[in-house]
Amino acid sequence: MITYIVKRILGMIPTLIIISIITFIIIQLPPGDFVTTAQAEIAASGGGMDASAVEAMRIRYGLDQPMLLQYWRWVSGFPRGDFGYSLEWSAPVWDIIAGRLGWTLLLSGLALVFMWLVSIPIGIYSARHQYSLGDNVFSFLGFLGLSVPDFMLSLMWLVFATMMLGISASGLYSPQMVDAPWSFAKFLNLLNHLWPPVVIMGVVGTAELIRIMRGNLLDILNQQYVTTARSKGLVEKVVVQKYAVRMAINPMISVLGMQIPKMISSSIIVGFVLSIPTVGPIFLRALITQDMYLAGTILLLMTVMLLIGNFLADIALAWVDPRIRFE
Amino acid sequence: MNENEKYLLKINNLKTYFYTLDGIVRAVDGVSLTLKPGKTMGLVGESGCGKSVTAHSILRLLPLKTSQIKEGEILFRRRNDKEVIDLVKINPQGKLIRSIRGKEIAIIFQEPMTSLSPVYTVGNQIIEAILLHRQIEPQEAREHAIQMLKSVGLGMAESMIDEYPHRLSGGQRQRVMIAMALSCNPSLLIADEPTTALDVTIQAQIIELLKSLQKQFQMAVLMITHNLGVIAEIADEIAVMYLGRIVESGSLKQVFENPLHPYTIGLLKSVPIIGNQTKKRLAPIPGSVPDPLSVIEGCAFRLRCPVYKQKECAGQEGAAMVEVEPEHYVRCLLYDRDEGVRGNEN
Repeated sequence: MITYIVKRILGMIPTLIIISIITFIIIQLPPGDFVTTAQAEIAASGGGMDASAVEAMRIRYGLDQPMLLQYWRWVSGFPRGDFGYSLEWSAPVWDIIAGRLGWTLLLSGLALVFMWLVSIPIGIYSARHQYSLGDNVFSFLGFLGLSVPDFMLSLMWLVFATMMLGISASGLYSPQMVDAPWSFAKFLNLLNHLWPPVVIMGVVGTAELIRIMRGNLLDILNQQYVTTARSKGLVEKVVVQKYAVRMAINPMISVLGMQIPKMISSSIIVGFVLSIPTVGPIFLRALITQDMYLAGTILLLMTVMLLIGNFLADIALAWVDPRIRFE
Repeated sequence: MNENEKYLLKINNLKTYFYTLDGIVRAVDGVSLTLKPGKTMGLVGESGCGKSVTAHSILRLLPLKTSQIKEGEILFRRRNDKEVIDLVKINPQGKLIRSIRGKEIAIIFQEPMTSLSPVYTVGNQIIEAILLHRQIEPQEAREHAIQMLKSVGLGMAESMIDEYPHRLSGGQRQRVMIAMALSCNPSLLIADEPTTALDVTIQAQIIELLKSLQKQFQMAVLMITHNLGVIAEIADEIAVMYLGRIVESGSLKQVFENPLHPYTIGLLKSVPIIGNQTKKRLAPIPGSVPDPLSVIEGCAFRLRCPVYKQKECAGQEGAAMVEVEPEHYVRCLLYDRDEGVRGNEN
């Protein structure tokens, strides 16, 4: 087991290097650079920059240097926790995103937990009562959740909360709470602003996981070892829980790994619509202004989160399934 | 037949139907069987004839939503009080059937590779069965499980008990299944094609093992198979099944030496004999098993029968079971004396 974990960690290093290169290339792909965008913005507001000023700016930011060198300047700082300098915000990249990364992780993590807690019981119910009224209602709701995109749900929640309920639905706190000192009331206020994005982010995945859990369980309930368990004289409840559900959980863990990238991109969109300080809004802005170190770092960290998530899912899978553990 | 002779299990006119989207499948359509304590009954027939459904009906393991026992009774004599209960009438999820499953009637299946859960150790799964039916301490149950593994010929029982099933071979897993089935000393073991998925040398070992364990544990065995070689090895009595019905039954000697039903004759002819160097081809039974959804009036075998007589065989009821010699029964108009239509009279 330990050699397995060490192997997996070592295997992540080349993946990370390749991803950092690809990320850097992708960020550089659009025509122009940060200076061009800045120039265009200044021009749009009626100002102008002469050629020498533009050149000076390029040199200052190191944009005139060869791509390989720029890449090296970026990655060589990683071990020191230096992810480069945001050209637009004039601040170290890490200082800008550190707090926002936390919110992204929190929202994505909570959404994953929400998905699991909701989909597994419903999946079990649906499989055990296949084609019943309840099963059909859950299937209907599930497909509804699957078909409505997250930004739409966010907008609908905004409208519903503001117009019908008259409560604040965007940001992390209600306006009057933002500058208040920490208190239990403020904490409750935070929770009230956190659950809607978590639910919105989780809805799509929940619908998917219900289908997967239901399908798995239906499949497993027909397996020979479930009949064996029943033929021993075990109570139906034990047969289902110990032999069927326990096995149906395994694929859910692999699927969990696959849900992580969806959660991350969903956190960007939902965060943007509901004005939650995830990395989403900043990422979007950085892409538009071609603030390359900021955009690149966010993209890279997202991938790192994905890798770690999948790594954890693999370990969990090895932990619950002896067939993988002994490979 | 001696009515006073004690039976362990007696199935009377069992009809188990499946309700599918395409219609009703009469998987078992009037099966009657009698098992004596300590004896082995071989239930033979080709795939889809209802052998396994009969076995699953006994333990009430059939899917509740799609299947139903329409008619008949399954009388089972319980171990200590000798009371006889009808397994058809009891709740298939109730306490009574659960106290019989595993404890008095145990079953082993065809596929040893999938019969054990891959996520629990062998020991976990055997000990669970023991603790369920016996009031003993877990440590004692573990000792007993090791003992059982040894008695099915698994030498490394002490270490094997903590192994996961995927580390064992097919033969080893089937031995584990047998150990688990016998761990509570059942009076009836149903073996549902226990050797079909194993290779030939392992098959022979498993059959030998079952024979010796049967003597040791004094239990009756219902051996379900399509392999006549296996039956010849182990059975005391044979019942031949075709399309949900028993067409011939008798002792091993009677049926093998003097097969009466055209289907039994065909089955015996189609067995290859090793060492038989003649250039003769095997004699297959012509045609194939009819569509399970179809309802065949009269004798179900008449469509493939070499001695088929149009008018008589297609009658509404078909033939009844006739006792041709003591304890040797056949369901065929050729032998139906009451009807007066012997095959050679026309």
